Amino acid sequence: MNEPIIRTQQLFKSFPSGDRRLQVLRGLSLEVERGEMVAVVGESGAGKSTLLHLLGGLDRPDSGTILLSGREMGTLPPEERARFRNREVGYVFQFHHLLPEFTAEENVALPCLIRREPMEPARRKARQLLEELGLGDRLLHRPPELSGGEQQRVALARSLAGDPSVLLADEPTGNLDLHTSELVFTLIRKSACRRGAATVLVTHNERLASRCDRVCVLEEGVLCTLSGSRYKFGWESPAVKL
Amino acid sequence: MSYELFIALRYLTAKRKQTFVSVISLISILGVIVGVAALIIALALMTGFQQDIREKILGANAHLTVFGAWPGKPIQDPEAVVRTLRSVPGIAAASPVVLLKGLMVSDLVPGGTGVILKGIRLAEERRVTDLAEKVSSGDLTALSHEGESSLPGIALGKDLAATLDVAPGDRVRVVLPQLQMTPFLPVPRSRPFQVVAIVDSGFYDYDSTRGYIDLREAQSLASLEGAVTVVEARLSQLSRLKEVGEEAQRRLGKDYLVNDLVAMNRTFFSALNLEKLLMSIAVGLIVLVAALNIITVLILMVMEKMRDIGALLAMGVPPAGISRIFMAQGILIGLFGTAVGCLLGLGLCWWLDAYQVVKLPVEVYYIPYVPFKIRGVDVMGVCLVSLIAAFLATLYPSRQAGRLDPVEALRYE
Repeated sequence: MNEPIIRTQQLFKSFPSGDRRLQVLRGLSLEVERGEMVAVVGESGAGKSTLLHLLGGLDRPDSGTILLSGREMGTLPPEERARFRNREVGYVFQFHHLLPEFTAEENVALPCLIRREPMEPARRKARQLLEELGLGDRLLHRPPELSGGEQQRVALARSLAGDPSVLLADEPTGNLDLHTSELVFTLIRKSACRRGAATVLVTHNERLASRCDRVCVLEEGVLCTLSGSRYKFGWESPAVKL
Repeated sequence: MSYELFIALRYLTAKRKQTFVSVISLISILGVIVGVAALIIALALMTGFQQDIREKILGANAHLTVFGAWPGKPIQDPEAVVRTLRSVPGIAAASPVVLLKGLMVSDLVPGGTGVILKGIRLAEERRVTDLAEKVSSGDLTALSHEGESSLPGIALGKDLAATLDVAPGDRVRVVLPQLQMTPFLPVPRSRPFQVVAIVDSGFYDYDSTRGYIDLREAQSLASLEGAVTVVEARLSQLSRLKEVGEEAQRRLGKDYLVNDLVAMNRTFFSALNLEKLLMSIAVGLIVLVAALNIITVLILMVMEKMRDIGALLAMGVPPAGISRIFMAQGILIGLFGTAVGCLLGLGLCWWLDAYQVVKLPVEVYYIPYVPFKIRGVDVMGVCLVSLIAAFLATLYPSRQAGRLDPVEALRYE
């Protein structure tokens, strides 16, 4: 069995809500192996995005441990955590979060520039990635000049530019039509597989989730893996705890 | 190029979604440009005035003046003092001078006016002051020989001549506050002179009070019998004024008092410097306003770019990197504004000076136009102040940008 790239244990996370605290994660544990793609589903507000923020080190858990490629994220100082995120983590967001003033090529080159790679090799790599994702003729277009699907493909290329070992996708098809969702999902799947990245995909799309290696439901602050029948028919019925 | 500079440059040059931020950015750059240009022009103006006044003071006066140690007591052996002064390294020329206070009357202005008479040896005076170059009419060489009417010659400052309503060829009478015994009663010493030249030193204080006569005439008029009141000297290098003055004092000993030009006009030069400083501070407030504009621009930009900041943090930009991006923007505004402001200021100074754009009434001021003189050190100082102000203005907004919570930034609408 492969060594898991992502390993979390007993994650707790709460947020202030008025004069009380809203407990979102209650002892969540998750393991994702190299090359594995795990779909995380659940109701809105269940804490799916929070989980991705914690996994990428954008936020800190109240307690629990997060090991990414064997390194404990919680103990890293902010600067080191940012460096680690740049090298090991790729994010794809629902609203692509591309920088509007930069061309597609420049957006994709940014993770390499952030790690102080020279401009030309970074641009070269960006071009390769964009061509791989079928955007060879959109290199010099800025995000507002691209369609939703193209924007999301640029965002995927950007997340892969740093050759991450972990890919975190937060509803990447949430804003796309059926056909484009299919295309983007296939590209994420293919790209992640080819690079052996451990992928966590948060989605509401049952059909896409069912095509992942594993489907987990985030319910009442913990993750539950769906069994065979539920895997097939959806996750509205009570879940089985891990 | 670092990613910080790459992003900062793009943020500044890209067409903005929010026109308001673009307008404020433009205003902040314009603020820096105007502030820097105004400071350079103000300093050039003050330097121009200062240099002009300084040149006039230096030209009209000797660099060192030797007095007898006892106030009012004349120097009995001026030639020895002149010899000693000439032996001091750095002293180019020395000349004995008699300074007398008196009253001058003319036929048209019998009431007269107070004057300071300076008795000179013309040949030596030429080497000590630039009096000979300042003659606006008449002939200064006529001082040393008698005029057509057998009267000794006198050169008058142009304003003094105007007060007495005289011109070369006219007569004036000098009356000293010293009594002379006659067979009947004591009367003030007085002597008639013929005006031979009009001097325009460009320095009102001198031109309105000074008359120049031959040294021997002055000695005779004041019964000094070979003595003089002061000995004046000129240096080959004015920058060594203090040390040459000290050396001259050491060689002349305790019987004499050596005063230098700067020491004698210390209050005046201090006032000029203070005026320049105050003017710089007043105009420098524009730079301060420009710096405040930079703070506003950066705060607005941080707000506008909140989601970008979230994305950049997700890509692995450390908080300090986010700070550096916005700091670079402020510094770029400062650099661009300072460079353009500097060029604009220098260009305007050149134009104002070369074409003598700001005219002055010569009757009121001693110069016909406002001079603008640029000093490298002033320009460097202005640029430095502007850049430091721009840098300081970036500190707060960039720090705030670096402190943003990535999750909040990503969710920002």
